[in-house]
Amino acid sequence: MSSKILIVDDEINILMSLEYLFKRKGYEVFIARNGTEAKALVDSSSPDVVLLDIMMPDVDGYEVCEYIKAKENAPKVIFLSAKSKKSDEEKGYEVGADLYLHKPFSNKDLVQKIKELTTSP
Amino acid sequence: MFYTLVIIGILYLLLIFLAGWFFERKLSASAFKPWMPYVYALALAVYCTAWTFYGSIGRAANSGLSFILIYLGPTLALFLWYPVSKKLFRLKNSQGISSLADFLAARYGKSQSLGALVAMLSLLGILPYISLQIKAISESFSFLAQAEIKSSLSTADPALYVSLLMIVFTIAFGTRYVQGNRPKAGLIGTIAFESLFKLIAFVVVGIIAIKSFVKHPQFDQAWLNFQSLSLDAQGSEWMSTLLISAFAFMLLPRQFQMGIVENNSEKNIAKSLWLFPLYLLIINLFVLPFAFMGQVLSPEVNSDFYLLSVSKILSGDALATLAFLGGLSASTSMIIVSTLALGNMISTYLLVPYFAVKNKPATQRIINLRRLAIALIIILAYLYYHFMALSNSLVSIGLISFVAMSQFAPAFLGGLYWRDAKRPAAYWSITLGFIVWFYFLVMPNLAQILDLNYWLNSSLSASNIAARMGLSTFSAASFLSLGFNAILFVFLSLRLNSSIEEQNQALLFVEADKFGIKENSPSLYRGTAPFPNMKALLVNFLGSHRTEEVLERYARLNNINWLSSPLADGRMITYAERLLSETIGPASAKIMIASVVQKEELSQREVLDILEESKKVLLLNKELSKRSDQLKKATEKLQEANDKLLEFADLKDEFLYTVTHELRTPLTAIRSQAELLQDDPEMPEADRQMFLDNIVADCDRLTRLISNVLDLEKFESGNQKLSLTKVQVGDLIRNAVANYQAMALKQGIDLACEIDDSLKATYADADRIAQVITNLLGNALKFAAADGGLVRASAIQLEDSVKVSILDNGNGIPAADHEIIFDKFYQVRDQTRRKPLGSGLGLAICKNIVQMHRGKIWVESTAKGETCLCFTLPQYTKNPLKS
Repeated sequence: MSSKILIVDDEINILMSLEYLFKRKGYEVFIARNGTEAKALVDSSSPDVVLLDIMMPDVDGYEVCEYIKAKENAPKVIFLSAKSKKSDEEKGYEVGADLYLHKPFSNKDLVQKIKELTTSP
Repeated sequence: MFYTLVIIGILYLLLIFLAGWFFERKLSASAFKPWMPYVYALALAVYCTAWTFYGSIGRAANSGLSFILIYLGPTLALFLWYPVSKKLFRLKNSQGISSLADFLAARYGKSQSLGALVAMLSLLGILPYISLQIKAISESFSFLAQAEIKSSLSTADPALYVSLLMIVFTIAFGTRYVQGNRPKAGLIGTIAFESLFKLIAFVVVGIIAIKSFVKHPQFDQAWLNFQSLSLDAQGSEWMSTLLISAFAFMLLPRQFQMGIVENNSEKNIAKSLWLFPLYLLIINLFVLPFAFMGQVLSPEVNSDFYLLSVSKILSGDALATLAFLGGLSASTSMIIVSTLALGNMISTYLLVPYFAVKNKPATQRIINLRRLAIALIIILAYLYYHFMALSNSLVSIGLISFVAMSQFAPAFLGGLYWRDAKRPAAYWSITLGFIVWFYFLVMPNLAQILDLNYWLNSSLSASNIAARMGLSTFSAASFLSLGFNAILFVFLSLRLNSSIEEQNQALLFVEADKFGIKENSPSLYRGTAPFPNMKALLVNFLGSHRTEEVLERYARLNNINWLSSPLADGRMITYAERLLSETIGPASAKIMIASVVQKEELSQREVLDILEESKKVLLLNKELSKRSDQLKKATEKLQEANDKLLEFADLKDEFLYTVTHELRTPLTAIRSQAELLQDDPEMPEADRQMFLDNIVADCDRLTRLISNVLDLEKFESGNQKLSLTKVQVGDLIRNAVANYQAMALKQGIDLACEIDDSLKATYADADRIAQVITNLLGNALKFAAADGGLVRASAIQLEDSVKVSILDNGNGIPAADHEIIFDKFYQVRDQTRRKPLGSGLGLAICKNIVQMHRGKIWVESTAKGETCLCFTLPQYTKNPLKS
């Protein structure tokens, strides 16, 4: 069974790039362009991993993360953010993220980190 | 009625005891501080006695308007009283003065004999006046209760009990502290309360009585009488009454007590200058009406009691009782304060030197002597009221006291303002003044009582002398006593010499304002005393607790260690003398100090030097505190500037943070897509093309962002210059719209421009304005409704500017954001939400450009909810940069 991944970002180019990348790696890929869509997709498709941007036009990433982590069997959450302050990262972990990656990231790294995260208990 | 009146009277007296107790506890609290000037002004109104309630009306009924002089005198005297009381307030503190006797004694070389003279003559002058108040209480009571009170000692006389209660009250609230000049909150508060009470009582009784009198059948008669009100008093009578009441206002023991001794702050004085006359005006409003009502309603009654008879006839017992209580409060406050002031003088000059000074410890004994004096005075006044026939009307006895107290005026004013005034001059001129007073105003009464008719008819009798001068006895007495008094005072002062000590005191008093001496007077002694002796002296008179307290404070203020300096220096001795003076008066204090100090008076030259020095120190202190205020202000400004800088630094950090965030976003996409292309050589051609296009678009976005940041930096640092040319704004708009037309067409947006035909050319930077228009149009196209989008660019000519509006039919901008969308990256306030507009810098740049043209930019919402971004450009017909 292939893993399901939800990618949340309001930047269309980033979404397209990541969608292509993870489809090639054999994931079942869902994409959301804002927080509201993201919440709905988490409910409907129960992904294994969520890649989450923070700055979005409606509901921000932190809130989405809290929403996700409040669920039973919550998926792993990885923040992908251009917010570079230490405090931003700390807040990310505070709301329950499994990983906080800074933009720009390398595709290889990202794939590697997700693998580690999903295989570790 | 008898018992009702007794009970109500007792209740009122209980009330003033309660008031005393309440104010003693509360008035010194800081919550009362803003009210102190009002309390002080009310306390001054102790001037209005039972005389105001009864005698004034009687006088108005008999001789018209002249009653008002007694209130006009003090009102006019306030001009003189203001500087006098300010000076006295300072002297009270720097010299430890608690009474008029203390003042005159201290000024004229700390003279025991002068103090004693003043104390005795004050008693002589005021005692009948206190009796008069007792008489007023008794007579007003018997008038209302319709009970005949025999004029012999009788336990049925209510005035007896009132007098006894007054002794208790005065002792309880007037002798709390051994220092005579310390303000007593319970006393001040109660007197102010009584003043307020009597004012309200008089006004209420007046209003109600007049209201019911207007409908009375005899109203017309009274009105007729009123219209023929006579003003034909003699000029000399007016003059003398004004002069005498002006002096009395300053010198009466009760006025000196409330105006100077009980005053706790120099600031109180100014407000009383208008409050006190206002009080007098209000309380006198109804005197004439009552006089005229009394004449028609109760002509059979003694005119002094018109207030009671009229209020009883018109409104019954209740109103008459209120009038009675008003009179009672006026009497009691006068008795309390006068007795206290006299008691202080009598005990300080006639009792303490003989009964307290040689005994130890003296503190309690001094207080007890004061209490004894107070009790004696009230008892004497009561006996006087019984055994001397008080045949005169209420006003005339009061005026006799006024003339008596006026005899202190030359020595008093001379002492304050004339350095050459001398002690024997004061002593003999006061004596002479009192002799004349006695001859003219007391002897005739005595002669009548003793049936000395031959003397009354002789050509040397007071009334005959006055008649020969063409004056009333009162006027003659006033002018002659004050005239002889003043002439003798000046004559002797100019002829005699005085001791060095007296000269020094004269200097201190006359120059009190100039040298600004307040709390601590400078040392006027050469010489030292062993500190333990000095301390023992203080302990004896102040008690050990207070001695420790004041010495500790003195040491702290002057940086003195008693252990290391066992000798008290000149300054310490001066200080100790002041402390003693507060409790036993300046004359006894001087003697006590002399018993432990071998002192030597300084020459006048030296004293002047010391005073100059203290003045310099004072000025220096003022200068220093001014400087330190300035420093404090400068520090505050620096702090403010620093805060602002920090804020700027924060803003700059914030800006950098946001810029890097904005840079990272396209970089992320570029990197990720480039990696895809690199790792996947077999990528389908369509995908490859798409990623490459995206990369180019992201690179463009990066470039735009960078140039925007640089632009903005140029504007904000002021490096951006405008190059002004004559510009047709309409053309700029048409160009921009044309450039966007293709894009609008593609998005299905209806884009058009509406340019006012009358639009005039103005000087502006064409490229920059084009940039603004392009930017706004770009935003509008981005936000126009997805379906049936509409964008309008318009320009109209205003009076002295051009207004450009770019409108779209999108969702609009929330009103709360109208101001902040022009901020850099305005989403900064809500950091995790993405801004709705472009790079977040476009509008900030627009704002900078418009403002550099001295125009304005803002958001408008139209009635249909459409958003309109507008800006104006001022109309320049010449190039404003080349003038």
